[in-house]
Amino acid sequence: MVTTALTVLVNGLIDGATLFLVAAGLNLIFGVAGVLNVAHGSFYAIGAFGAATAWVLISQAHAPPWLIFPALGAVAAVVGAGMGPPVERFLLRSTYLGRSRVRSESLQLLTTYALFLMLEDVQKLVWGVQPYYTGDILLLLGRTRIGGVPYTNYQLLLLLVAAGVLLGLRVFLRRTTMGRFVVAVTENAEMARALGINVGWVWGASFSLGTALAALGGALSSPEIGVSIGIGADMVVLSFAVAAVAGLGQIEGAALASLLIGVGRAIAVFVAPELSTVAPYLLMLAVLLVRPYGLLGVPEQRRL
Amino acid sequence: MSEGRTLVRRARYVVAIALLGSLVVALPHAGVGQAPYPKAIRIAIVTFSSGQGAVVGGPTVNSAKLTIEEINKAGGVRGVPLEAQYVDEAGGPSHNATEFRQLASQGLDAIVGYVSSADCLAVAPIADELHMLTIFTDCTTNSLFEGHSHPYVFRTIPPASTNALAGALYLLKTTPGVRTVAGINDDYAFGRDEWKYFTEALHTFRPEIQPVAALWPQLGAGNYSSEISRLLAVHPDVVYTSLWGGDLIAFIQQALAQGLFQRSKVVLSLATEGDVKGLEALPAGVIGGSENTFLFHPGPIGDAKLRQFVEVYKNRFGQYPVITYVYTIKNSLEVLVAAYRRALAASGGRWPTKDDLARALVGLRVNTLLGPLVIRSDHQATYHEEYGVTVRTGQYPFAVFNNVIHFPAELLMPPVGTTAEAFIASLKPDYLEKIPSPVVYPTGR
Repeated sequence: MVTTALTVLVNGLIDGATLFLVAAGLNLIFGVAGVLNVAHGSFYAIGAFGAATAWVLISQAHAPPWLIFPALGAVAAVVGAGMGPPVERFLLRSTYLGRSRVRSESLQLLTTYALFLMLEDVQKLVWGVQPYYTGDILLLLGRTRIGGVPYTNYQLLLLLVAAGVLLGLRVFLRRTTMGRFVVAVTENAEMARALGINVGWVWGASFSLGTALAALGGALSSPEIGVSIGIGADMVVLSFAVAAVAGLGQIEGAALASLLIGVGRAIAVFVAPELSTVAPYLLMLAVLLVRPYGLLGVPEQRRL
Repeated sequence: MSEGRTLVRRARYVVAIALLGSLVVALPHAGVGQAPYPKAIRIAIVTFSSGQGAVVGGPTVNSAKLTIEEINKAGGVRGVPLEAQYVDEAGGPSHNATEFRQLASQGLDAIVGYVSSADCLAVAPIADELHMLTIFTDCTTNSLFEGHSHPYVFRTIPPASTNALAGALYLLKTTPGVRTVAGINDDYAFGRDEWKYFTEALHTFRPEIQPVAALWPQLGAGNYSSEISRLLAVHPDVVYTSLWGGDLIAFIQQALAQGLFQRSKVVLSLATEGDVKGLEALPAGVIGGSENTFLFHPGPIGDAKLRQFVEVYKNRFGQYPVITYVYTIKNSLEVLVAAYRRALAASGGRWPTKDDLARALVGLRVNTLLGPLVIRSDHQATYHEEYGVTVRTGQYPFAVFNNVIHFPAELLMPPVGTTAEAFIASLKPDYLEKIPSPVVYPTGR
């Protein structure tokens, strides 16, 4: 019984780790810029494709396999820094502060959805329609037994990275000046600007960071899936569920929600396998019924 | 003066009407004797060319092109060549339903292909409605034809129950000490069928074997770490899976990484439906099925024609034809052409209609590359099945199968009108004696 519980917990953590990376990015972007980015899943997919390409290149050049690990980080950074600023500056910024809230939100939704569709085609153009299987990466680091069940050390690495990101984000937001600027802009962008903060810079940087996080999630999970068209769409839906459970804009909430949903799915696999696909959404329903703004969410205050 | 003009006008009218009238009367008789044959037999071949199923599409399209070239080089059907357009099956059942209607509206002679049972179940009623001759290449869910009849739909591969039954029989024949089994199968018609018939077959002959876990990931899920962890925790003697395509490759890689193959005996009922990549990763000792086609084995291939085909395919496409889909599409096309020939012979040379073809298909027997294939009155195919155990030899870069049992076609098929469930439940212990012994190929070690 205890070992089963342990297995469920470990599985839940591992499952939740990738989810957290993606959902944290989504929530960061929403918190700072108020944009619910439908295309967030596309950055996840591009991160995964980038990682697959990196592995193919490393294998073809017969380079030492451990190079893939820094490569994964590099892919995330490149996607974040390369795609983040232009997308934010030229596509999304015009949708932030509309005169009427209604127009602004539907415009955001349409814009980000259009971006999602465009990025799907970009993926097809660049990487083709055949799937990439890079599961041999999983074999690189060996195995560890936890509660009698062997796990790959790669999966445990994923957990470590997610924990590191969570800690890093907390420190960044609470202890660094830049982080405080981000919090300020999240609270009240106009006031922040009035106080001399370069709000445009903050938006751009936050968007890049959020995008990089999604790409990192994609890159890290790429050996565990078949990287092909459609993984972006799947991740969009799931990450939105996580963000809803967390409370929009809550980064620490994203950690809690990811853990909850990861463990929920793991429990389903053990107890009711038929429900394993539906479990995250059932959980979302349950949480939202009790706390409509998410676990840690606060109702938005109207500003005049 | 005006009377003269009116008269001329009237005359013109009369002449025009007379001419038109004679045309109307004459035209139907213009083709009397023999309607000319069409310029080509136009078909659509539907298969996955993008997404998780794309590993299927490559070999399918390659093999189809090769087969159509062969057919046309030999003169086609009485001089009429076969012409195919290739359509992507990716997008799900409702997308395929729309696509099917669109293809049918083009006036094609037949639509061939389809792999995913979900897509076939969506498309078959539309084929009935539009009277569109449809030949399914895969889609082996039993629910397609059990309890339903589709006048214009045929399937050139036996149903999933034959694959699952053969898997159970292979296990019983070669691994007698099994006590517990677990399954991981896709959560849709086909996956459900496979697990149902596998456990039922085991139960019929050895009721003491316990299914201890049944996992149902979504078709196309790709990430099986939770399910694999559960399987490792439960630690059954045998793990049975009918995962296919990209899912199978992902599963093999993840199972390898977490050490599932060492813990339990794994049965891949569709071992040859991933990719060469999946077979390259497989360790020795894994039981695999061929979904009614062919398992590569140690040593040279016995049949000369098959040996030649393998060489031709390898030289042309740079890959060995290990994947099931190479053979299934070939069979579908050969069956279609054989139906045309049979219908032409029956009609004395008149070009067949869809109904003629549907009639010609029933009872049709084709000697395919891998053996005889018969289409029954219920539009299902009777064909053999093969199961074996992986070994690594130096001969090929991928795992091959030894201890192969070649199940004869009639052994596994439920009789016409009987459900597979009833058939399997009715099997008696002496049935096991009818199963051929495994063939051991010398590995030269």
